[in-house]
Amino acid sequence: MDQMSRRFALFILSVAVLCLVVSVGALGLRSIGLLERNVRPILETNALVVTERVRDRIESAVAMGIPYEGLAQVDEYLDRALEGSHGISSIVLASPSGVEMYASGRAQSNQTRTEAEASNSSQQAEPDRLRDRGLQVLPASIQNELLRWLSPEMSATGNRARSSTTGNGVVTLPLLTADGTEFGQIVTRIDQTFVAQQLLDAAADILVMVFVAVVLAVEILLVVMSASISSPLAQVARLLNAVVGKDFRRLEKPAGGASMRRAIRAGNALLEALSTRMADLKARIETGLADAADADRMRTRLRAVGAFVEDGRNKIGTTAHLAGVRGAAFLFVMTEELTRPFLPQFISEVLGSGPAPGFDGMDSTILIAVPISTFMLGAAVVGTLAAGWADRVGRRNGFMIGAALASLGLVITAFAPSLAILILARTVSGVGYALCFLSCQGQAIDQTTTANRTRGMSVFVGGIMAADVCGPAIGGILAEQFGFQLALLVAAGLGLLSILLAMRLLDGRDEAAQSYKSTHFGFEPRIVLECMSQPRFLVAALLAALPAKLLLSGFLFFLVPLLLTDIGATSNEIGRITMLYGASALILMSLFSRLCDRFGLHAFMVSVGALLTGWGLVPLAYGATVSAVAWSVLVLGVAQAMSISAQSALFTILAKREIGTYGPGRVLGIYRMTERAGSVIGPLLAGILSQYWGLAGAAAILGGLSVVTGTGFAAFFLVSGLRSEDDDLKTRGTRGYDVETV
Amino acid sequence: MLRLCDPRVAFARWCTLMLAMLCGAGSVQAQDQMPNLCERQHVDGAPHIVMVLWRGPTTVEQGVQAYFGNRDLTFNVTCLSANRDSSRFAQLVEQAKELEPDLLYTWGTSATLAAVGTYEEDAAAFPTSQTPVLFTMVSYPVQSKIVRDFDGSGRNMTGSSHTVPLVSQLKAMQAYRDVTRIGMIFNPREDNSVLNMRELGALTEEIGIELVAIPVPLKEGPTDSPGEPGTDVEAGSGEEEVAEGQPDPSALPELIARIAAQDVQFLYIGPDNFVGTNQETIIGEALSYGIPSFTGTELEILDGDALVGLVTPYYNLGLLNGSLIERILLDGEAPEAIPISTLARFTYIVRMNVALRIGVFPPLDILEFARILEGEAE
Repeated sequence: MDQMSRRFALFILSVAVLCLVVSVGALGLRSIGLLERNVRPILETNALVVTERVRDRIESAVAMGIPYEGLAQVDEYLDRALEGSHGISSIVLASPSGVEMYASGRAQSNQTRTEAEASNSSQQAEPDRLRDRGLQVLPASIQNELLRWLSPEMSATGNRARSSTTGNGVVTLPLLTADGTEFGQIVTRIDQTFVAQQLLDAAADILVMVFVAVVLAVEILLVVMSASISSPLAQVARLLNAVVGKDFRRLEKPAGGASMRRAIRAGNALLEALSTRMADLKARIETGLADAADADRMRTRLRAVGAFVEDGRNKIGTTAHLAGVRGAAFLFVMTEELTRPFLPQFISEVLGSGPAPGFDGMDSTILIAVPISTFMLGAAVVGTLAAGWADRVGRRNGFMIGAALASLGLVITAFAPSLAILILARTVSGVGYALCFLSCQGQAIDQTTTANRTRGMSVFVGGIMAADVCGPAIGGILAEQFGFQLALLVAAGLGLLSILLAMRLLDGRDEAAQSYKSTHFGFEPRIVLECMSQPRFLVAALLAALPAKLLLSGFLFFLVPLLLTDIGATSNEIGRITMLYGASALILMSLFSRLCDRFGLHAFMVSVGALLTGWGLVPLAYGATVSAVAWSVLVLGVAQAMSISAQSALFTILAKREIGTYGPGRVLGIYRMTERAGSVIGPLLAGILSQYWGLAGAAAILGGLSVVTGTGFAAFFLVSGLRSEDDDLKTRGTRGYDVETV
Repeated sequence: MLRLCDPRVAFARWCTLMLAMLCGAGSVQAQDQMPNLCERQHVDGAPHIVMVLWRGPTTVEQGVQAYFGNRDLTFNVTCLSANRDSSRFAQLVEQAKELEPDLLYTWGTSATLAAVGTYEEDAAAFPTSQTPVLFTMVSYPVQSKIVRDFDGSGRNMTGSSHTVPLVSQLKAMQAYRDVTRIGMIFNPREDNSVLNMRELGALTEEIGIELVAIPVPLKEGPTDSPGEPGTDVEAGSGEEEVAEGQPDPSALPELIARIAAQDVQFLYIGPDNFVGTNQETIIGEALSYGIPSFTGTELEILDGDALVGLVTPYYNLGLLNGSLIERILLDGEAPEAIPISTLARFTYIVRMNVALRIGVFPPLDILEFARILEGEAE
């Protein structure tokens, strides 16, 4: 039945995603068509205006008596005319016979190209061709219908009405003296690649938004479906399965829609009636029948009927389920992820241009890093030390306290008047974030057994990764449209929403009901010392775990937003680029972890991941453009998907003996601790580096650092090797025990 | 006595000034139709201004007249012209003193020094303590020691300067054509000219341009110089007999030939009375070698054959002077507290007939913003 409900959920999800992709995709294509239709005439008009302006200037100079061939500094003049106008590739002044006399810089250096362009200009523009090639697979009638819908001005491929003054993207005007004699001509060419570039950019944006929309829709569907359909269905199934299996002890809490609740209540009532009667029967057997042999016989027969509660009172199960964890995790991670694309910029605005009081002599870039680092610090300290406390207050309470703190921190951040308050607010948010994380992780483990724990954890991690994708993209849009402050308040609002969700979906029972104790994660210096005295463990912690998180927080959370703002990207674009990290993790993480487990590639994957990260960042030293930064983020995402999934498994192999003695939680906790240390150091280090080498330089140096540590790690394990007796552990997948995203 | 000015009045005055400046050259034409400021009938009871001028009323005074007209102000003006003879200034100042004006207006460094002297000497020929003085067209009021700085004179006077900063003048030359060498002729007897030459020399050296500056030789004779330090000494016109110890205009063609031999791109015409008086010879000789002249003062390009000029329009300076007169005589502001005024906007002028004659055409960019003079010089 569980299988069936999963298949049912999968079916609904597939249909929903398909509908979404098709409709959003079609809308996107249409908007590209509209964009193209609007951009071309604007470019043509613009080219005409520029050409006329240049023409008027030349004609008036000639009218003053300056000979056409004696005009001074014309190329420079044309260059400047070109500089101020988009979408023009060249302006050429020619003799009446067409011999070139003056030309803008690009036209001079690309003479052959412009010639080729002119001869090709009757051909279709690039995006038209791409789209039409795609449409050719369809029957002709559908092709025409689609084309008409996509670009209403086109009845058939390429039949475009061209402006009469601008034949084929070239504006040509004669140069006339006052009496109308032609003394030359001016030829302006429209930059065809400009249109294509604009359309490609728009297409990329639409693609990204489709992806984000799908991920978001899937998350919402999963939670809603789980709460109203699949989870109640599973309850009914459990009820029926229990009856079939002759287990009449457990009742299910009514959940889902009205009919579903009725069904569950009916089942419950039936079971309760059965239990009461069985208890009655038992009492009668125990008291009413003197014959011991009869009684024994009857007891045996009753046991054969099934398992019943002793006192006739059935225990009601909880509705808490994994999907609830996923929804809660998605929302609380989302609160932070929303702020990613603009937080550094927001902090720098709070700082203003003047020195921050109490922080004299510190460079402003470092000051921007401080609140980001203190968030990490708050999360690290609470994540390491408060696990036991989080267990004691219960999953739901822990989550609600955490979410309230995170939201409070965000509200204070939004109105922070000074850096000191901002630092405090970010620390509070960090503490709240860690509490939410511990509670969700705890419930995910509560809800699963050792057998299905890995899958359970992957449901939880799935929520986090989905938030990594949606958060930055949506946060960027919010910041762009409504400003930083409102985006921060929306994030705080999401935190409050997650409290409501937690009240409904998380386990409200106290400590006794928890199957798992986080105290296993407790911080004990003795165990830290023992693990760290092991060279392999130490090397893996310091050369793999720490640098990986250092790069993530230093580069992605701190440098990327600042760098992109510096280049001139909007919050919108920054959000989409930051999202690439989450997207690659979402797509590749499970693939890499499967590969890693199957072939035992842990150390290899960790080294390759570190080296890839490094080499992805180093090129930024040669100048950062928006696309260069986007590639670096993408490479970082792929590389970290590779190394992060391998790392926790690697540590279970390296510390097999310690895990055997102290349990996996405490030992892996040390690995998490080094990761968190990296997260705290990252922004600060990046801030200090950027003070001396600029933002792009700092990113490249961080990349270099990753190359060095990755090489060191690889060299060490190539020489020392993993312990051979641990081979059996390689495939066991203890990764599921704990996860970390901060 | 200092009277605080009503902000509304100040605003109206400012608006008039700005509007009049915007109308600019158009108004110059309009003013030509009206009777000259100096020739107007005096009106009883109106404040009396005496103007000591170098060569009669100029475009500056047209600007003053326009300001009075726009603001509907009535003043009685008496003009005393030196007719380009600096030796007459002392006599004119005496005359002015006798007229007992409400304000003395002096045109140029020499006239101003003749009236008020330097602050060091503190021996003004004119009773400045009783009657306020407004000076104009003084290129270097600080270097000429008329005032200590531009913040205020500290004496019962204020004034305006037409000088365009030398850095801007250099940039204006470079905008027209590539410049590696600039020629300059100056009168060593004129302090402001020597100061200007030194400043230009320092600036050109800084940006790697060579300055070929040649002083005009002085007529040989007895060494007892009539000129005192800090006093401009001006020559008469070229045809007059040149006094001994004065710059000799007959040497000019040879000086120009020497400069032409150095392959300069521009001949620089500085604020030099001798050069100004002989500009026709100097600029004309240079043109015969195909060398264009650049000027920082309006006269040499409006009335002469300089090719390029970056100038403070005299008319606008006149408008500024008009507002200063209003502030002193009508608003009762203390002149010593009014800063020495300059204009922040300059006009780039190209004389196209000269460009066409020597084939040195203006770049297209300059045609976008320059004022183009197409006819022959007046």
